[in-house]
Amino acid sequence: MTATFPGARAPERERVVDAHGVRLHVCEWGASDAPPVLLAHGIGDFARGFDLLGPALAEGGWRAVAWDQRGHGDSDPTDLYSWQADVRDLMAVAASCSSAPMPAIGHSKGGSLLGWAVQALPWRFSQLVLLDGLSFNSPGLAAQDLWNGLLTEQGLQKWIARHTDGQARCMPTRAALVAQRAKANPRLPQAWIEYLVDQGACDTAEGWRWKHDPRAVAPLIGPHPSQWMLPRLCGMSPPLLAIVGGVRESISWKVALSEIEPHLPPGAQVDDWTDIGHFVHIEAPPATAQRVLNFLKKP
Amino acid sequence: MTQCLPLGRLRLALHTLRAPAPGHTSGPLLLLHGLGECSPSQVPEDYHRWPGPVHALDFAGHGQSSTPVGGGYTCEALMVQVVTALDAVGPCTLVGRGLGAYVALLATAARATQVRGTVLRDGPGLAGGGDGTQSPYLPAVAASALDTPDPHALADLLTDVRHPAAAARWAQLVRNASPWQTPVHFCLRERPAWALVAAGALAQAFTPVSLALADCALLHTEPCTP
Repeated sequence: MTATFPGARAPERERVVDAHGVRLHVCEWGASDAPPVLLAHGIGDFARGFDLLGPALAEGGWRAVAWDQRGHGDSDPTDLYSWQADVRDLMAVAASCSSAPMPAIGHSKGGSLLGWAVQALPWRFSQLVLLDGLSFNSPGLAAQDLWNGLLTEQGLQKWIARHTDGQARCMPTRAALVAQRAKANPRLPQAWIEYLVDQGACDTAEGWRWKHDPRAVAPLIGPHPSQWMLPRLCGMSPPLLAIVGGVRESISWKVALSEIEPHLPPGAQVDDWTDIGHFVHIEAPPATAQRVLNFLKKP
Repeated sequence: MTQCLPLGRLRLALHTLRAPAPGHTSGPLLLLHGLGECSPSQVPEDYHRWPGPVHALDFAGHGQSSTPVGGGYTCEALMVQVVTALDAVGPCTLVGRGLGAYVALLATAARATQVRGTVLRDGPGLAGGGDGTQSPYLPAVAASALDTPDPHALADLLTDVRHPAAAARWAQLVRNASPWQTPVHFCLRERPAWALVAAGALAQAFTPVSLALADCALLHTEPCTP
């Protein structure tokens, strides 16, 4: 039996966007003629992770549009993965919704991708909401220390192995996969993880696994533009709302609000949710949806 | 002769420009081309005096290698392609031009005991996209699946960041793992920040290519004791 979760709802529509030959799986909640708002998920996540926020935005009059990033969920795996490729995919999904500027919401890496896209292509976005996703590293961290931490001998060999063998890590049972995810995200409700597994995992001959391409979720060893986007944030033109999850977790974004504040653009709204972890929209769905809808105003 | 090396769904073309002579004991050379180039069809003049076999790899999206759908090129991904070629060729000396020079530095860090000296040379794509402080920029790509070199590769590898602190770290990994006194030779007249930093981290001067190749040829006669 498929798991359910209070408030979670499957998208009303699903479609495919061709991004330079890569088929991206797109989910939509809300009326098809409502104004679109773009939702970008984080690494290792997928569009159905917005099954709580998407319906809430739809009830607020928006057409919430999320997509599985390449190598995630039901989108195509690709031969190569990069920041630029993800941004191009993002722009292809945006173009499939509207040619007019639109608001966008990003969680974790999705927020960072959007932050970079807004800096590069400011005319495409009218408002930006970041859910615990902005600059990847502390602005106080010396560049050499950052790279020494990112790029280790052991990490490099693991990364190469991940890219040469491409083997997905399988768990013997669905319950084991749930337990594995629960260990990585201890603050997420068990029922939500069960729900997530039913939407984003598959039972294969080798065992239960997430649908992701393992190479798409490989640890970071190369340049990551979110490492150097913070100093430019002050010049960002679209209105900005950032919700920061104050509880540090193993998967947390590594930057505290106090470190971000000096770099924020004029008029930016920032909430520090000190008792919430990285997945703010899952831990506090009604509060997140209400805060976002208040910021976006009525469509 | 050209071998086809599988890497996931990609197929990489590894060309043998000069086969090993019968009974030869000299080590091979592996050439890495620059951005937008492809492997030469015969041994370039600079390597005529190299005593061993000479191979050349086409990066994905270049020459006879397959083109990945939807781009996504990074120097780190090209490094994995070089590692795949190294596994096929065995211990060898790496020579990289331009983009291939930066990738050769990364591959030397990844396979420090397998690489018998690395020679970095001028060529297209040496500087990449600078150090990361430039304004965010997304080059438009109007790609056809039939285009070679792949426009995605040209767009993304010309803007691919080569952060000096990252270059210093790659050089440090080389220094930590390589058994050779001079693991990397910097034969560059164009000297982007990453090359200056890496040369400094390895305490290397910029040298003529003839001296670098002679030094690398000697490494093939020495026992490798990591």
